[in-house]
Amino acid sequence: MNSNKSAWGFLLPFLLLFVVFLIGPLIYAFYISLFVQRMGVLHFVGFQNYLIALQNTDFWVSILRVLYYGVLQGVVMIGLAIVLALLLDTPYAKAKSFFRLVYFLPYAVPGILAAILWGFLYSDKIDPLVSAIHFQPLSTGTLLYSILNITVWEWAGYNMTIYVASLTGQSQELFEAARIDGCGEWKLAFAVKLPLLKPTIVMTVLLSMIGSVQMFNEPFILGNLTAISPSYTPNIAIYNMAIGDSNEPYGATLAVLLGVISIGLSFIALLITGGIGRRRRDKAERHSVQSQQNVQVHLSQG
Amino acid sequence: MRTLGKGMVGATCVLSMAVLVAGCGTSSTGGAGDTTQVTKSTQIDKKTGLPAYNGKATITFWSWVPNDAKRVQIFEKYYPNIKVKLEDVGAGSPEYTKLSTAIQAKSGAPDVVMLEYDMMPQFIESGGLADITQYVDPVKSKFPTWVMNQVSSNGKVYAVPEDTGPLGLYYQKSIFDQEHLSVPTTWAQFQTEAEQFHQNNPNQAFSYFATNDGQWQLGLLWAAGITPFQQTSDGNWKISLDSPQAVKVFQYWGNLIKSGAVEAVQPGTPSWEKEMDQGKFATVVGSAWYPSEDIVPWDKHASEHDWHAAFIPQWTAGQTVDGDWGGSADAVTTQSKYPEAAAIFADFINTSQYEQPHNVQPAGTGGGGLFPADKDGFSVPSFSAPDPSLGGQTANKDIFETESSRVDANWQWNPWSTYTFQELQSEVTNAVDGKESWQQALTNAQNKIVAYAKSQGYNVQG
Repeated sequence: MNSNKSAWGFLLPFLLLFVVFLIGPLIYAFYISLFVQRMGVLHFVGFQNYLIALQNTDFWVSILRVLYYGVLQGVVMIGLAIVLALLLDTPYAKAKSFFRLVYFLPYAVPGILAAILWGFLYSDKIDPLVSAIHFQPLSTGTLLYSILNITVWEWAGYNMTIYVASLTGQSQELFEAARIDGCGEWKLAFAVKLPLLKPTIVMTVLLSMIGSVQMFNEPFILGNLTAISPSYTPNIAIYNMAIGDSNEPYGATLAVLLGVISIGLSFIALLITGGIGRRRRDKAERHSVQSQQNVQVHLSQG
Repeated sequence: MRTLGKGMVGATCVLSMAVLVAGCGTSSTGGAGDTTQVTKSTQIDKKTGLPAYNGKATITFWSWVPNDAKRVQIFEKYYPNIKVKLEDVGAGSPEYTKLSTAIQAKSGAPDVVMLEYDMMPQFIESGGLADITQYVDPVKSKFPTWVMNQVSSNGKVYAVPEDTGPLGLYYQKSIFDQEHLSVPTTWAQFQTEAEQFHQNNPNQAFSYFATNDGQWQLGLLWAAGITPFQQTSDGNWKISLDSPQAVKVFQYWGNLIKSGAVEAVQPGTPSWEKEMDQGKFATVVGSAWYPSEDIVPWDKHASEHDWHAAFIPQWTAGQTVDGDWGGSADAVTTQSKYPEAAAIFADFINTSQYEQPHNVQPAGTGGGGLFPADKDGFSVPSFSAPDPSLGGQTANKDIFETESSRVDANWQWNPWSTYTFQELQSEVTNAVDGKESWQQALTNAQNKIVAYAKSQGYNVQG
């Protein structure tokens, strides 16, 4: 009982903020989404906004766009982070801490500033390099990949740091044993280190997927330099609707839909990561149950 | 007065009632409205010609007009009981974002707010603006009909006009002299000269087309006498953005872009600023305020380029029709605790003889730099002064005063301006990229706007 009380005590600060800043707004957004607004007065329309949103192809295209982007980012950015981490973890790497810092530095640049910085680099007619090769990073076809480039630059070092930390935490005896068994550094990286990193990689991939779905900063900033669709990403669409068009009810409708999708993704993430942990736990539990039973059997026989 | 940013540029507004016959200036104060009616004090202040204000009031004013503190000072001299807190919360869209949030939150809006004409219907529909018909009535005759139409809805007036932006054609006289070109008076002549010019000067463009400025693009339609948004007397909307006439205008520019004679650009971006400085464009379709907002800040070689203003080319030779791009009005919000003081303030700063000299004076020398909406502003000496940024041309007097009288009064902005601009810009960009035809682009924009309006509960014929 007492331990229950103290548990709630520890949970309270989190729960309070969670309710005030997440659950409350979610319920309010859902409530607002059941209305339309005319002359500052709300008129109840039930689920009409949701019916309209379901037919809003631009919005669903934007969801598909960020999902596609999330997969791309998962492959390119996580791939690069893994390669850098494995390289840094070899005994041959020189000046490890220096390179760790260099790769990590872009993450220290706030996202908005990074977008502004890259935006200027992407502007043909200003960037001599880009104009020399007649390449337009901000044209509609290439824009998504230009944004990908910004996120890779920004996040690869961050994820690399997580992997390096995870590798450093592994027992060195394991690697020693592998080396004694005649394992080269290549093989060690792929056959030993990579499997050890798997749970960490799964977690980072899922986190970056969820981040992609919420993409806002880059298109919002680059929209000042090039024409982007008003519903380029779900969050851009929500912002334009609620703030630009002063249409809060429909903005709330889209936000609720995006929220449901994000929660769904997080849930899948939990299932997968939790699943990995659980399998191990189950094994351990089975062992302990087995041994307890054995003990009981011994006792009863005794 | 216009801002670039978020591709949301603002400009004009409104639903004059279709009942309002163009040119007739009778006011009909609509029946019982659902908006706050500001009551009128009976005493008239002899000095100002506006109602006297005996109570004490403190009002907040959102504005981005240059040197506006001076304008507020002049007002406070004549109305010492009214204290005005001036706040510049951003020009155009940043301000609209804050206002929209404040209206939604039912607190935090200023008493008086500067709005571009194209945003008027959207904010009238939000229920955030007060009906100040009684206050504007006495000064109504000072404004051209088309301007009053921009701030009225269903016979009620919601703001006092401040400045306007009748369109004209800016051209580099240095280029025209060198190439022996005459200033085009029709779009057909403009096209011939454009193609010829670009052939002779492949690295230059005869003009530019602003893909990120829906307000400017619709200004081109306005100048052609096309009215894509019309509210009928029963409150329904007729939307015809993809009419053959509108397609013709966009197609015309599309063909010039394809041939390279006109460049598709995004004004406000560093790339465009650089091209302005290089003098890449022989001509620009711009407003009365264009030199002070876009030429002086970005073209550091303006004196060599020798920019001049001319009348906008016509679609039919001999016609005299024009459109507007930009310009603002000062509205009173429904959140104002002192709506009467706020309305007197909005009247005074835009129509008083004590304010006009300051309003018209160029921003560079401490004035407001406005092309005034109030016709009395045209007689202020500095209005007719030579413009140093246009080689000493007296452009206000010679070109824009006339253009202002030619602006088509039938034009109306719709209550979904922001949405309209965003979707139009998006489709226009696709057309420029060759992803779809201009006809398709306008039809797509049309369908989206109609669907959006219907989803908001409006009756729309599209």
